[in-house]
Amino acid sequence: MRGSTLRLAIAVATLALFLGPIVLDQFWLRVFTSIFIFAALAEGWNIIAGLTGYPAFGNVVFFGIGAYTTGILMIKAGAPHAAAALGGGVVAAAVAVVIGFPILRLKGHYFAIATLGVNELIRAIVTNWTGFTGGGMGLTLPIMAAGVRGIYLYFYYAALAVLMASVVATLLIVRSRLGFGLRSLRDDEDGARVIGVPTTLLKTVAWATSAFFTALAGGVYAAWMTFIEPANVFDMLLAVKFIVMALLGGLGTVFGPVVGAFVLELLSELVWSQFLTIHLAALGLIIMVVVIFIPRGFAEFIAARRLSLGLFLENVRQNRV
Amino acid sequence: MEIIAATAINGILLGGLYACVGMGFALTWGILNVVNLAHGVMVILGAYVTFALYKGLGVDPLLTIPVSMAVLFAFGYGLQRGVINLIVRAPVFMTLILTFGLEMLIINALLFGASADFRAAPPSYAAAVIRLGPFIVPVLRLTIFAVALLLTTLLFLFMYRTRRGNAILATGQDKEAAELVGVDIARTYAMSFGIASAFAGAAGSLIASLYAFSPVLGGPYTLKAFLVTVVGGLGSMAGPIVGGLVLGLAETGGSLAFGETWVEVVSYGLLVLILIVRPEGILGKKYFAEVRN
Repeated sequence: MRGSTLRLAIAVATLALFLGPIVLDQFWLRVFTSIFIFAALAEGWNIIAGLTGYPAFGNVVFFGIGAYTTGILMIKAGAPHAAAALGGGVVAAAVAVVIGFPILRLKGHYFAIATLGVNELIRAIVTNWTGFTGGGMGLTLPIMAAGVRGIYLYFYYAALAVLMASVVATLLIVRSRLGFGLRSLRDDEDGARVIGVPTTLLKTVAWATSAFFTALAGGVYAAWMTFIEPANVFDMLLAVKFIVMALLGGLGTVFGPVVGAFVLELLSELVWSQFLTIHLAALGLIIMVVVIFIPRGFAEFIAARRLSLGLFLENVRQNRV
Repeated sequence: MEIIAATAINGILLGGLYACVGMGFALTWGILNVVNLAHGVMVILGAYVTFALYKGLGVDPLLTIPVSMAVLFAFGYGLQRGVINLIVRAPVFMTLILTFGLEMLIINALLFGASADFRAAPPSYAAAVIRLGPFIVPVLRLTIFAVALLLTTLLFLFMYRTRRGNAILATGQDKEAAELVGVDIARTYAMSFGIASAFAGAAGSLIASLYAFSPVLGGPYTLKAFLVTVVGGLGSMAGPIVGGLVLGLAETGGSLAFGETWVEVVSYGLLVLILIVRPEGILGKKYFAEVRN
């Protein structure tokens, strides 16, 4: 797609999403809110995994931290939802900075596993800290006093705002010095360090940004659902879902993860939510197909300007023994 | 004092079982450089093989180990040939995602075929104990510990004393060099994955005799395998044994010190701590996987 066509397509899509609620009924408002949340998560993960090259497998930990901070601020401090969600974003970014310095030194599997370990550790702590977090019984958030349609609209626009903010942030990063630095360390970290790129600082900033948006999405989710528990906001299944969305659209591109989220979540809501007993298997199968045949996602077809069996087979040939 | 000694004995006995859970996982990671997130659910698969024989034919669960190992070996060999092999040279992260997808698929199949009910296959002597001086030791746990050690010794002998084992070790150390001296890499990978799966099957049989299990426990057992491998370190057969013992002692000790519910916090805290302080693990060797930048 040429630059001008792309810009026009994005402008039309954005306008359509803003005006959408005029024609959408409650069912569709709910579906789109869920899509926006997943798209923001995929875009947030893209900042650390795609732009920086650090596949933070356990990034869902920031979703959980955002959800719980939002819940606790609303219940214990009576904070309004928007302020509480922002607080969640700030807390998550701070956590990313603190654990980022030791963990971002690790490479490959070790980094991925360390983030998984952090997620399990924080889930276990939240589960046990009953006095503060409600523990395994979960946390019930206040229901907004705005009428049914009002609540649906509020969360539609809140999720859309988080998504837009994450896309704009990604665009700004890609075009800034930070983006150049991240790309250089992604492609050759030693080389980047030698020419004076402050790699540790940049990686940590990228992870904190990723954590911030992941937590904002968690904050919207928590208040939307009005009930959270450790098992569902620190759920690795959720992490794998937004990771596959990012892969499907094209990791490291600005709009790919968003497109991946729209495609996969629409499919998920419309097609196999009808078949609950094989839901897990269907998602598992999609994951395997994406990883084996299209690891670079839709972006690859656009770059190659073709869609052929040969492209799939080439991917397989590259990675097999 | 006595309670501490009893806890230590329990921790060590449990450690043998954990070593068995982690052994196959460490093998796949060390040789293929694949972190198999479906390892835990393959352990559960082995437990179901044992349960089926126990329930159907009344076989003692520990006697079913050869069967569960054979079934899982075939399963793992085929899986490597048909699926894992397709992405074995992809960026490491892709193998994580792929095996997670695989785990979901197997769990769903098990939920479908065997339901989410918890099962168990306790042998007749499940409650028997023997006295060793002042200590009371459960016979079943002691037997499981002995079986785990025996299997580990057999694997050790296979790896160091047979040509095929040597080929596997050589492939793990330097794939290209092994290929140059005539090792068939694809077959060696499938063999390694098959053996690793057989160990998952054996661990599953042991677990079935001691605990209740269900398909959804796949994830938690994968995490235990992680801990065993990371703590012990890659690159030596003794790594998973050390890792298993540390995890066993940490779990029983943590339970005694902080209470049952904090065990998870202690074990995952240990995982994160080791990754920060000494990511190559207690016995890990440098060249097995790049650890740091």
